[in-house]
Amino acid sequence: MAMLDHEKIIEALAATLENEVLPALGQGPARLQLYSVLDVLENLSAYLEWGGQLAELEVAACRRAASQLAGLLEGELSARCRDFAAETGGGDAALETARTLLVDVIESPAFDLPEVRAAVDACLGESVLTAAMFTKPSRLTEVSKG
Amino acid sequence: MSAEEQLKALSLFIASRNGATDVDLSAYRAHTEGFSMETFSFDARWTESGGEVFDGRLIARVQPEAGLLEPYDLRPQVLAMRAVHGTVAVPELLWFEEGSEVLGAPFYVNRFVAGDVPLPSEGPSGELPIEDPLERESLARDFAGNLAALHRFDWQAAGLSELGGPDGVPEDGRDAARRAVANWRGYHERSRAGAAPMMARAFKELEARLPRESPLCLVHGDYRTGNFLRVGGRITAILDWEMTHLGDPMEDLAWACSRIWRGQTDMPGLLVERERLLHMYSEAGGLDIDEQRLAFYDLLAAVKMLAIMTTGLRAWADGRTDDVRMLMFRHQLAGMQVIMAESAGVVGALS
Repeated sequence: MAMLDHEKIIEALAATLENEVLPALGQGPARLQLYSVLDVLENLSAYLEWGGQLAELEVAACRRAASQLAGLLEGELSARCRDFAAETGGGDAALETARTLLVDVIESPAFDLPEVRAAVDACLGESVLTAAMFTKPSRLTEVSKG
Repeated sequence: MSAEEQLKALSLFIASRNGATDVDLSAYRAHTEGFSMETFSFDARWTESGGEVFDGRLIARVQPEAGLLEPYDLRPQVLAMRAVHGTVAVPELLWFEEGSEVLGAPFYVNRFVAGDVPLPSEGPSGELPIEDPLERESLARDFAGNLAALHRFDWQAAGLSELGGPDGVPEDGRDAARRAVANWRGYHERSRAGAAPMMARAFKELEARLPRESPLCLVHGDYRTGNFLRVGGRITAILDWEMTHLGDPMEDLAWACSRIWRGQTDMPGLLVERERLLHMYSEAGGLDIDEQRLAFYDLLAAVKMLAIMTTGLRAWADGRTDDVRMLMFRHQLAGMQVIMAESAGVVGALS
């Protein structure tokens, strides 16, 4: 999520270890924070390794959908889809543009058309399943037990 | 506040409330279960004004400043717990303090109930939290029975109209469903960090599936494995009433049966198969089961969970909490979106 940059997360994890975990390691609340830190670190390292590629895959899926949708929609939405399908840029800006475009299509009356819905669903399905493959199992049980 | 300060403040509070003397609070223990409320238990002993001696263990639950369900308000859960005590297995509530003078935030105190909290997650090799199938069956029966009793509870006679929320009692189940969607859309809008097409798709689907007719009852709002205490095969208390409200009974059933709490099994809450649980609910006198409304609330369950996660993340990102547990949700959003995609019919069922 864009609201959380990685440096801020790592700083926060270090502060938690220093202030809450290490001084009281034997106690439940400290242990649950420790498990949380481990969980976040494990997933953060996976995200740093694969996150860029993941974003590219999502943008590519959206471009394929946009190319299809350009022929199914009319007016401004059709033009935006055509433009996005033709673009080649990547990164966070392209990802946000892709997601915004999908939301606008979903919220438009044209989404009632089965072909439009199918194109959007194919893109969403591919994106959410791909993203889930990059997530490691959670330590939620340990965290909840403390 | 430190543990000592909390107990000292509570001692004064109890003395002022009861006219009690010789108030002695000890054996403080912070509880780490649950993500919302700050919870601690303690031994309590005092002499009441009539000379009777109270001697027992109590639990205090303190409203957090920020977190998953912000903004917090303890009042609805206190009203509900007090009303259903004796009908549903809930701890007896002794005091509710709406001010912040005593412990720095509103809180309530209830009697300690023995039991452990099985969690809806499997071990590394797929171990179930409750291995004995007979124990699971017995717990499922209690689980369904308590829910049936809650849904049949006469909330009007108990004067619980306030639980309809700021807009008053919903006209019917459809109105309640519409409000539920609006409520969770609000959580999502306040916490999201950019465009969220899967959520937009889910809200579109919810609008299309909005139930036509349904009854209105008292809904727990977070009824699932992980939110009850048990001793062996018996439930000793239903906990975590933070999301209680007036709504459709299918909301609780769908939440309890959601894939969120099934792990890799087809057993809601890792107790028994879905059909078995629904049958137990009906057998216990629960309200009529409606698969269409269950499907609506199953999708709403995924939306609700994702909105709760992003609300926790937002609270952390904005510096309103430093609880690192909130950050864990960042990496669970992907899995939750898969559950949502399945429930919305965007992808086929994966398990």
